[in-house]
Amino acid sequence: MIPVDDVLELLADLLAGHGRLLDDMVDRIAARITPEMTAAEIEAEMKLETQRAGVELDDLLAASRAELARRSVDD
Amino acid sequence: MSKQIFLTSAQISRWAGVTVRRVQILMAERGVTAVKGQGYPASDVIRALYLRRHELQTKASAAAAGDARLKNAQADLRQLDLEQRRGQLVAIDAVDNVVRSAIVAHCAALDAAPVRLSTEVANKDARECLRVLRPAFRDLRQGLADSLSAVARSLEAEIRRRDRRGKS
Repeated sequence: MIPVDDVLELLADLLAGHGRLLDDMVDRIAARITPEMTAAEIEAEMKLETQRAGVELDDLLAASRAELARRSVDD
Repeated sequence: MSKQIFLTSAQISRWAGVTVRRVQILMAERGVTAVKGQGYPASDVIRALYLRRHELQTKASAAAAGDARLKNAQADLRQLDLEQRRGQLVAIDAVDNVVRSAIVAHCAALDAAPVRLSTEVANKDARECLRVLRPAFRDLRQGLADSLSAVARSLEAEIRRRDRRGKS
């Protein structure tokens, strides 16, 4: 069991962390894309980045779970 | 008439197990005055020592009673805190499951983004790309935010339901 306030705090942290990751991701994609690239090439570049964002989100989620476990309270 | 017995500070000190200085202070506190060359009247000394012992015992039992009251109050506070926290606790597994569902849905939307957006940013420079990509991924993030907000609202509603049940 865990205090609901802690859950809300961790959810907010998770969302904020993921928001930063997405902003960085968009910057990287925009830096790589050139007007000469085809839609397929752009799609491949974006897929790499979205997959990376997914992995980073998994890491954030794992960290949140670990923090939930650390703050758990015996009932 | 019985003969008055006198005791010196040193004798009282040995008898009562306190220092000579303490005897002198104690006798002064109790208004027992020494007769020059003889010492303190034994009857006054006995009364003073008896009263002192009685006061010490009273003080000790009052302290013990105070300790007991403090311990009881602390135990009550701990119990109250535990009960309050129980009302505010949620199961980690339940939280984990709903958050995981929200993340899975978000990741699916994230995976679909390249197919959807690649044609929109083709033949555009970096600035134009950003103009397309930023709002698109902001919407995606907002979708996750909405899902997590729904999780938060459901947890708070659960706590309020429990609170109402506890009060009724």
